[in-house]
Amino acid sequence: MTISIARKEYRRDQVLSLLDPLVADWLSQFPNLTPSQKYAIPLILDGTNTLIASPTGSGKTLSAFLGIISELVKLAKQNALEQRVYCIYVSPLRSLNNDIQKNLLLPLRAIIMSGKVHSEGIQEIRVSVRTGDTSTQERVRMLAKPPHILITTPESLAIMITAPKFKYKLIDVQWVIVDEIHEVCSSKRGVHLSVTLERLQNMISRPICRIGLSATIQPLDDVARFLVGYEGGKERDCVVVDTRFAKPISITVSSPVIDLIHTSPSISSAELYGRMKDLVTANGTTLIFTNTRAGAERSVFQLSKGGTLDADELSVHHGSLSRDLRKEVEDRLKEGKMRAVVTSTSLELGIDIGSIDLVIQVGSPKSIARCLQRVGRAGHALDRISKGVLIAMERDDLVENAVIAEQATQGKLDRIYIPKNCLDVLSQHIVGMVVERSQWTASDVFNVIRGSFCYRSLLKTDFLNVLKYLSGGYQSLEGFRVYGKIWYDKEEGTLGRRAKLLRVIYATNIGTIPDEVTVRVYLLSGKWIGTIDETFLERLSKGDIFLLGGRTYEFRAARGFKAYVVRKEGTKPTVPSWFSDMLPLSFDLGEEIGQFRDDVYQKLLGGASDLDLSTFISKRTNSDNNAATAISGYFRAQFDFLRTMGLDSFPTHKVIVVEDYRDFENRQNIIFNCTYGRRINDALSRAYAHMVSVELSIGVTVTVRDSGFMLTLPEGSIIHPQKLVDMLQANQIRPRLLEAIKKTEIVKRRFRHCATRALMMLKHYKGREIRIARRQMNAQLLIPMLEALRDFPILKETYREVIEDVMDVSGAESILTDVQNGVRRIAIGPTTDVPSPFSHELIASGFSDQVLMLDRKNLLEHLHESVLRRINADRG
Amino acid sequence: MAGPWPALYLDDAEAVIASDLHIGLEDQRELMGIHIPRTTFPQILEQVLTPIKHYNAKRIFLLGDVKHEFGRPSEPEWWGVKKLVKSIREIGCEPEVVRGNHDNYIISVLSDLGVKVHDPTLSLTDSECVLMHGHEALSALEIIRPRILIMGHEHPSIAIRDDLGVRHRYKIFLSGQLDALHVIVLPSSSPFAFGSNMNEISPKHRLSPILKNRDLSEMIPYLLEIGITVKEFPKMKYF
Repeated sequence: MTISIARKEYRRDQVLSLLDPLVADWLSQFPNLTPSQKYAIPLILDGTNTLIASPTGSGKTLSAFLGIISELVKLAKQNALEQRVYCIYVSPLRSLNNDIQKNLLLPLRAIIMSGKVHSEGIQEIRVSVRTGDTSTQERVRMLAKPPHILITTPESLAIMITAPKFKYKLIDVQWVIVDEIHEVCSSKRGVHLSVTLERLQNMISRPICRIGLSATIQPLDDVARFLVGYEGGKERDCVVVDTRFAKPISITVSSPVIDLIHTSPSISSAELYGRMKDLVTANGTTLIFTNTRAGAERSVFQLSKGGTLDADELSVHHGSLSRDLRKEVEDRLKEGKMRAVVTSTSLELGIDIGSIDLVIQVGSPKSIARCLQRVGRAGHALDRISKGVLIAMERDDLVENAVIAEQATQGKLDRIYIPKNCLDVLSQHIVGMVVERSQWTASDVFNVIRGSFCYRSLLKTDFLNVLKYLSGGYQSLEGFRVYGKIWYDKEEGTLGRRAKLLRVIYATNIGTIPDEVTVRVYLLSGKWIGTIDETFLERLSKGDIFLLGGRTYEFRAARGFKAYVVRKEGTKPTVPSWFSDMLPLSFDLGEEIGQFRDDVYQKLLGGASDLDLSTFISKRTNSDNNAATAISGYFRAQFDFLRTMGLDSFPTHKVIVVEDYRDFENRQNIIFNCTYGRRINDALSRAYAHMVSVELSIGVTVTVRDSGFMLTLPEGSIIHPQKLVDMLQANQIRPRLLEAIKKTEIVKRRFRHCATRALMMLKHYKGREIRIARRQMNAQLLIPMLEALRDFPILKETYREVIEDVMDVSGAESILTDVQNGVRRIAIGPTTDVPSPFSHELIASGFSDQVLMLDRKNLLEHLHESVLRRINADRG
Repeated sequence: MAGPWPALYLDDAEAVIASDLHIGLEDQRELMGIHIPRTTFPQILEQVLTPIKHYNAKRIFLLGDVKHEFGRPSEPEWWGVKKLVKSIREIGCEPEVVRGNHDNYIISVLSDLGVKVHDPTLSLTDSECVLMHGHEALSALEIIRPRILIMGHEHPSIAIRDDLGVRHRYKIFLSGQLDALHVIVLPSSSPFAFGSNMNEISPKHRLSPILKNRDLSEMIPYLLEIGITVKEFPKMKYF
């Protein structure tokens, strides 16, 4: 094993003795070192690759920097500091860069100042930030006087290593620190960074010492591999400093009322805000997380009513607010001037916000790790307990919170997912590589790329297809002008730069974060009422009713990125709200929820009374009386319902209960109760829907939630659930899903993202910006054309991204394999016109999409019929 | 007569009519920073050749915008046009072109190839039927006074929702009376030029001056699924 766990915790005096006396002097003002410092500093001084995983406020940043500062101080004393970069610090957050500069500069100055007292003429250790916002003058200055410690973002680093002059300032970098690695590694941004690190290493003759800073996540060995990568096919060494559970934590689960179903919404929310006020009053500075920005705004509004809390001590903080406003809130928090701040997600990352006494989470945080991250903001210093309260307004959220609280207190974590073999990011890097150096052999490029954990298993054929695409291949016929970005000589196995403007194209189009457009919604009178997602607009036709900010509106027209509507009170939305950006429940947490369901089911089977049951739940999950009673009532209702239906099963992690529910319009709805989380449920539902669609030659609506999914058939079409379940085998799910997602909105949108990342569609070209709308239009027309080409890498990547990153096809496969092997089982209920209690929230608020009819001729016939029907209905 | 292709067949003239091929549209996209492998040409070629073979047509009238011109094309860019003409002649058919708004430099290339070019209109069967591209106003027809006008330029399509609420887009033929004139609008033969949805854009945003601000509610759309079927739908006023 080349990934190992740090075993030796050094004593304070041992650590101090290893550091330069100036640094040791400064550090000795603190009576204690944090555990991560005692483990990590000696390792880093030794040049060992180190991954430090510990909660916020545990001195991670200093653990990483102290050893490096010590080495630099030694050099500075000998007047031996050279004009080059020694250490690169990469962080995904731009605002954090400024933050860290302060946190780093302050100790550094203190150390140097004390040095000046002892000995004159110590060299200056320079620290600078370089991001997309850095001015040209500053860049020129940096070239003349390079910083010894360089603070930057993943994107700027990728540009820097191709900079004609500045890259030479990097060729002897000794340390690279990757901060917030847990945040980066689960996205394409992380995939991109992992290759940038390999490219940087490739420029440098000796091994770089890599240091990763992570919050509490799982699995650490994969995160370590992500950090250090591979050398000549072999995993590089890395030592993991695991001090994730160094901080005591206390989480309670709460419900505003005993009965979340029959209590009127106005009473429930009055109770909720009353509860929040009490908590804030009793606890000092409180940080409140809501899952949405709208929720954050609403909470602040409600909390400020009634005058218990002073409006000056109460504020909101989220991504839609300007940077200045956010900064102001952060500063006031740090100064201890706030009583409560409500935020959606923007304050969960490592920005220093001073001392927080309590964290309240409204709704479910959807993963144990995220819950720990958020609650961990309370009791910032390591020896203080992090106190959190999870409040839910829906029963599924409540159950999730209960299980999260149980798991988090037991020190269990859910695993993160790291995307692999992304061909769009690969394309961008290959372009970067030929910008950096004009000629390469294909095998050298391949080896550098395969050094990244994310491309460990990259297939040669996929790699060659990317070269083919980049070199202008995939032309239908000879004779057309070829616009390749690179040239590629198959015979010689060499490649290089072709387009003259490639350096500019690379520098102005780099990055992986897709640009989305929000559409502003106006009343016909011109009054602005809010924003909707661009993709939501695509789903709207004239006359559609949709929900925005709790009210219903009728869509009239769109012009550019403005939508015009009229208010339409008291009508049911015809287009479901868009939930695509909601966080999905983690699979591991879903399994634990299933286990919890099973344990409660056993109690119910054993004839437990209501009191027994709620006591059991309350003890196990640290739930208050309201919460425990609500959960117990929810489970008993489900139990009784299934009994009445004559069903001898209960939906758990091992048992999927399928319901055959006929709704008011007499349509068949097949409901699967399974808490595998939306990523797996999305994959399963579309594969099943595709089976039905082909079998009956109809279109099918799918509705998906973390706790299950539902297929809705058009009136008059029926399939027996057992037949459906028998039809889909584990090995068919992948091809089925690939067919099912074709022509969906998500594929069109993700294709635009992938094509933009792969530099197939440029955001900026020849000094102009290319509008998203135009790129999207091109994407829609392109997909059917590119379908005709076999293995076109960017389309292949789009499908991979959708089925593997957005959905979880592998997870779905393993569920079905388990069913085939008898590890899990599917229990099918009788036909009914009442859905089970566990299905109610799915029916009421799931995210819907359609699996389309594939027979194109048939589809046209159906369309014709439905147009005629509508005409007749209008007349009749 | 129309089969499942973006083309018409005129029995009397033994001729196929197709419009708006826009060969080389990808080159223009390239200049806009969108890199597309050149794959549309074989599709365009197939859509043109299949109906010729099917009807055993003697002639094909191309109603303009054969090549997507934007500035002076370079020599290799004519390759597609030459290949098109050659392929049509190889199956015993003769192409003729009605000039469109994108056709500037192509005229000399076509005359080099001996292809007849009609500018601005082509009259058939004693001027009863006139073919034109459609970028110019009807005044051009005042002298001829035909009964039928067949045109392109507009690239008409339609968007329809199915029972699940999903939007589907189709290219359409549009056919019906505009005053005394029977107008037939052809869809584009380019897979990349889908045009605008006639049931959604406002009358003043239509491309052709012949259709702009006109009442098209009595015209009939024929929805086209290329290679599969073409189907008559209720009049435009029902959409």
